[in-house]
Amino acid sequence: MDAAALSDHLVAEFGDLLEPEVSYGLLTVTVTPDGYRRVAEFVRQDRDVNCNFFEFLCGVDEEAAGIAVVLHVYSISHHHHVQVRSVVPRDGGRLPTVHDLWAGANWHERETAELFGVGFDGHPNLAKLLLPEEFEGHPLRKEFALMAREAKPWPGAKEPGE
Amino acid sequence: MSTEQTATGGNGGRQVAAPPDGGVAFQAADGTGVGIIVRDRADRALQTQDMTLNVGPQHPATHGVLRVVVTLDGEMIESAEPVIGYMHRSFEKLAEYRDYRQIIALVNRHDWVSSICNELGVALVVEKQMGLEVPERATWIRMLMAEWTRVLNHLMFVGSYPLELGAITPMFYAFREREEIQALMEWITGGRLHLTYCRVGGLKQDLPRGALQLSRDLVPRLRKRVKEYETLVLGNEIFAARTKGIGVLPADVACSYGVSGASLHASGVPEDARKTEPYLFYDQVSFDVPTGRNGDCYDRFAVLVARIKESLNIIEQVHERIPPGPVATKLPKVVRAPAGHAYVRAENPLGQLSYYMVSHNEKTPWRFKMRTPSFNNVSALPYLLKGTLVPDMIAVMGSVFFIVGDIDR
Amino acid sequence: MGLVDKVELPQPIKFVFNWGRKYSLWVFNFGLACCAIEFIATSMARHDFIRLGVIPFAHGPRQADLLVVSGTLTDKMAPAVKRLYDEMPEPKYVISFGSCSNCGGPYWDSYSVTKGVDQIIPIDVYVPGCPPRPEALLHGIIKLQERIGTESLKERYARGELEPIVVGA
Repeated sequence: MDAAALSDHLVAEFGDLLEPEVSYGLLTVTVTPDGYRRVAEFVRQDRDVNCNFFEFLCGVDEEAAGIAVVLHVYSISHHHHVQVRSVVPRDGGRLPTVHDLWAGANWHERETAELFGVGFDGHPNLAKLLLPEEFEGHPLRKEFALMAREAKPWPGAKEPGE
Repeated sequence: MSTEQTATGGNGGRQVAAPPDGGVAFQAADGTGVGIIVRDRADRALQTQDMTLNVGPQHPATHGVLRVVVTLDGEMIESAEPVIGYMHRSFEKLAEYRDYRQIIALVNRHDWVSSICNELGVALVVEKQMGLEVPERATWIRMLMAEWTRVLNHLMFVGSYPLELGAITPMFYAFREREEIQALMEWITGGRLHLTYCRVGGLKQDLPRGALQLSRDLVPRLRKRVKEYETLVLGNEIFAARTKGIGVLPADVACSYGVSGASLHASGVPEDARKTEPYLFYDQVSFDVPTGRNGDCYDRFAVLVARIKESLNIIEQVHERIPPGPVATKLPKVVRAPAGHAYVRAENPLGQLSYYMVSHNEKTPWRFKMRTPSFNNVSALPYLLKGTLVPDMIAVMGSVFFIVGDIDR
Repeated sequence: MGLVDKVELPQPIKFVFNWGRKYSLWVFNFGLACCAIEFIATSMARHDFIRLGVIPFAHGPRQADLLVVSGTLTDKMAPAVKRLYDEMPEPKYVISFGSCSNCGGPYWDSYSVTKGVDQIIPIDVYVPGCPPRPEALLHGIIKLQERIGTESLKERYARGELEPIVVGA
């Protein structure tokens, strides 16, 4: 299915629960955190969507709006991509886990929890994955400043883009 | 837990069925009988106690700094948990502070043996978002370089995987070939490892005169040597005994973990971005995606060697197709990708690489997500290692073909 | 060390002693990142540093004279490097191979990268480059051998840290 047909198929199932958007040929559906798990289950289990290949799950800092969690999956049999996006509040944002639907989500959720501070309910082990235990803060959030940049100007002759 | 253990030695044991007393029996991989069963005086299976063994982060048997904590019951691995992050260099954060040209120099370092393929991904995603047309000549040369990088990368693993299993010689051969290809690449780009040859909208410079001829000469030479590897390694009885039937990864599990590249193809899934969603001009050349049937270590390695041959086929076709013309497009002084988000996927030597970029029409990206193949491939290690024997651990770990920088980014 | 760090050896003995030491450098490669590939390339047939008496078969830090740190050192990895260095027997030498281990390199502003191995352990030779060519490593090794050939161990221990060699400077 191409992105438009896929979008219609998902809207027919969920109606107003999701907000489809096609950008550069890629379908992204935005859902509320409550509907996230239902949409994910549908995308995995519906025979016409059947996204069985796990691509990635990541966070995107959207400043005042919160943290967007983006789940990207692909169907090996139908050759189409679906991106499920859900925005959670900056403080104490939580989403249900999808690691039982795609085993690969396990590490990606751990990584997102560590780098963005988003919780995943039902995850077996949300321990730190990449950073040392004593590391504080969620480095991929925009408010996390790079100390080296603060202390020392860019050593190159020009700033990026100049 | 009680265990019946067998000394399967070089044959590589395989768990066959659980006996009624809750123990585990082992059968040799080729089905030729069961080894010595260890029993105590009362004819019970030998009691064993769980042991936690820490392998790494610096360990001669792992290439790079991967640490694995394994829980052993005798010789059998009950659970294995890779501990990663020893090479986490925060690429995704640094990309938010660098402009699109600087990102190209940054990303070719995450998977350090396939630099052109990494930078190609960045160029593609920025070009997609800006709607740039790349000159045909540049696209063909990009393909040529990407395929040479694939050969270069696979040669590394063709050398190092037997080394991990105890065979030293293939490494010397592999590096002999690597030096020849690196000499070609150095001539074209000026770099040995991190080439930084791609630019947004094209390439840094045109091919030097005579480089294409050298590339043409190199192909038959390499083809002959790949045949040598096939007889030397794949035809080796010890190698086959240590890898056949070990670390079997079923296709559905591989997909669920997002495993890609040679490991996915070995499980019989011919999913390759060059075929299913062609980028560059991969739809204009003919090549196969080699697949395996069993999804074991041997198949993964065999697929890797077969992929070298396919890359050489592509390179030969590209030689005849490179048209004259410019290799770069004129860009504004400050490159800004328009606001929005774009996604690009490419088949890297180690598997599927995707870049997901969110831009706010600034000179640096807002968010730059790298989906690297090794991260997903290694996340399947706990599944693969569970239930294998300690001597097979290295065989399984090496056969997933990962680069530590590509796991941790 | 016993005798050699307390007594200035007579010149002929020192010469023979140092000559023996400089041509049997058992090297432990702490291969971290990209530079490790160039280190392997240096040890292979084309560049072949074994001809200089550098032996890349040390089974662990306890059997090594020379530590080559090649690649990016992260804060998570740093304690392991320190421990590895402490495990090596004296006299020991360290080559910092590549920009990352020299100063952080392209990751100078990263939140997780240590800005240079010299913050953890003393360095004898810096080899700059990203990654340096195998020839640069060979040059660094030769420079180190020159220093070993003329040095007095008594002075080495009395003075503490020596001025490091920088390849290409």
